[in-house]
Amino acid sequence: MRASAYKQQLTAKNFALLGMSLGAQTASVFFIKYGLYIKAPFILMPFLTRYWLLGILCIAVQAVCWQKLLRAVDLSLAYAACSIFVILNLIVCRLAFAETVTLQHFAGGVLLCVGVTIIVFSKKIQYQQGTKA
Amino acid sequence: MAMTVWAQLLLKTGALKSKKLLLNAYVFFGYALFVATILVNGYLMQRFELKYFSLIFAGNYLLTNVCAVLLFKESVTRNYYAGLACIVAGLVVFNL
Repeated sequence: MRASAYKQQLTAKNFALLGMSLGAQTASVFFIKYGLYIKAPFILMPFLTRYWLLGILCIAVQAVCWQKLLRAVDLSLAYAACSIFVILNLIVCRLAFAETVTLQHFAGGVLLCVGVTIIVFSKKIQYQQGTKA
Repeated sequence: MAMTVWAQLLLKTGALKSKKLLLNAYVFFGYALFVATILVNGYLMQRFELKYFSLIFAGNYLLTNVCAVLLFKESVTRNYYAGLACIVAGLVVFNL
């Protein structure tokens, strides 16, 4: 797809959907992890806390936003943007759980994002050229 | 990671074998595996720091792509290998 066609997909509504999808995905991981800090009297208890339920709710919100986003935006663009989750996750680790996150971790995260983006766009070019991918 | 990749492969197999997506055993077990993965991830989070879930995200993507190429004979390009190399480099840098 030409660059101009991508620009047409970069509307405020689609950015909002992408932000909500990424936000819900990051929030789900946060709530699920946070729920595990509660002392559980028996093995299944962490899965029944309100934090876990909030986490599951966030997964559902993320799924809905993702489906709506895919209706308006190419999968290649959406998946490449979605890889920013890796960076967001590192920020949550640092700010919310005080984990040791160094510049090296962020550098690794950026490389992962670049890799996902290259693969996604290479597949898109294959589809456009009519080859089986 | 193996469960997620297995689930993705089951969904792809289900999509290839039948048009009735929701009444398909492959698709059913694929989604069941996704649910099981959430529970397993919960227990993993008790033992590992959350930052390592970034690795799982990338690892899932990497393994799913490699399995898709090996099992479904999907064609690949030089850019594809460059992307894979970038992801592997990212995993190495993350773990250094």
